[in-house]
Amino acid sequence: MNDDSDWLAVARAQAGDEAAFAELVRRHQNRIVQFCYRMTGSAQDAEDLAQECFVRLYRHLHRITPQAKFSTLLFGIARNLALNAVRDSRRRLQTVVPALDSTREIQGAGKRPDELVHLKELDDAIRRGMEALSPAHREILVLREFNGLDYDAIARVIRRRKGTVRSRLARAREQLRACIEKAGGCER
Amino acid sequence: MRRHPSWKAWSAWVDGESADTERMRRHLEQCAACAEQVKAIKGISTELGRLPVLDVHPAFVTRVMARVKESAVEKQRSWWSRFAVPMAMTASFFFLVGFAIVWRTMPSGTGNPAEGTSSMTSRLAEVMVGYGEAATDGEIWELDVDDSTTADELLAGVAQTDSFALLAKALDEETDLDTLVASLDGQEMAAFNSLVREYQGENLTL
Repeated sequence: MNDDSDWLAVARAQAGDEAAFAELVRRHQNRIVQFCYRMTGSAQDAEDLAQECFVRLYRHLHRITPQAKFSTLLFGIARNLALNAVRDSRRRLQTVVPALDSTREIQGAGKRPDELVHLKELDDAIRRGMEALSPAHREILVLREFNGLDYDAIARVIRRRKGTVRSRLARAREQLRACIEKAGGCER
Repeated sequence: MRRHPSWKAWSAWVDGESADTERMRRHLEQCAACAEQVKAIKGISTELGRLPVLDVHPAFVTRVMARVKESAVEKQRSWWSRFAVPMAMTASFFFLVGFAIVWRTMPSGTGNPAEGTSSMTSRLAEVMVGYGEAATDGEIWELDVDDSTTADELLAGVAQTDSFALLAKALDEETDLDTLVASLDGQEMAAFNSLVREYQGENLTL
């Protein structure tokens, strides 16, 4: 993903080019949906939140000025939405990270049945582990492990110092390690 | 490196975010306990990497663009409701205030303007109504009117304030009041406003 071409698309969208905005959505949809999915655990919520993220981006398009990375801006919006959703779901006393139960959600094509069973077990273990993490720890783990952001980028997204990112990520990994080892994940 | 680096330090090292990369690598070659920690950290990434990925719905972009268009329509609608209603309410407010002032400054009983009010009083009321209508910056204009205050008392008060000597003079000379009010700067407007409030406080009204 090229940041220059992202900012170019932003400039075109700011000038009223809807196709340019659609191109931005197309480029970043996967990363934003995956982030929201790992934060909420719900496929439906993830797509809704990701949609809302892009709609908000569009609404504030006129105020946007080029930063170092366009994705940082986008993850910042997605992060706020996801944290609100997690907070709301906790208020409604629902599970924060529900299990993957729809076949549409799993890219299972070409996998053997035993592999799919293992994936399901592993997903359950990680789901429990992620659920046990506070949203503040979870977001950093997701941004690093699933979205591949470096510490500087994560610090900008969550508006904290790099040292905080470092500490929280280590703590999140420590907690998750316990869950995965319990499920025998690392031994396979 | 005599001491073992912490889990936190190894976590950063695995991500390539450690400042002490080379020394830690050398330590790792000689320390089985730390090697276990690094293996565990890398194992987490490996396991997370194996997790199923959510397929984004094929119509995702289309849905977003549909919502973007809806949002643009809503934005226009909300602009209209945000400004049109308050503007209509403000206009109604000034109309009612103006109407009340004119009604209260009218002579009671006979309807003869010469009775109970002077031409100066009505001129001043005119200024105030004009001022109220001109105050589009959201300042609330309120004026209680009663016929116990004479125009002379009011004008005497106006004349005591330097900024309004001109206004008092203009009233005497029947200058075009619209032009006069329009010529007041922000500070004079504010002083005028405070002057009238002072009159209201003393129950000195038109």
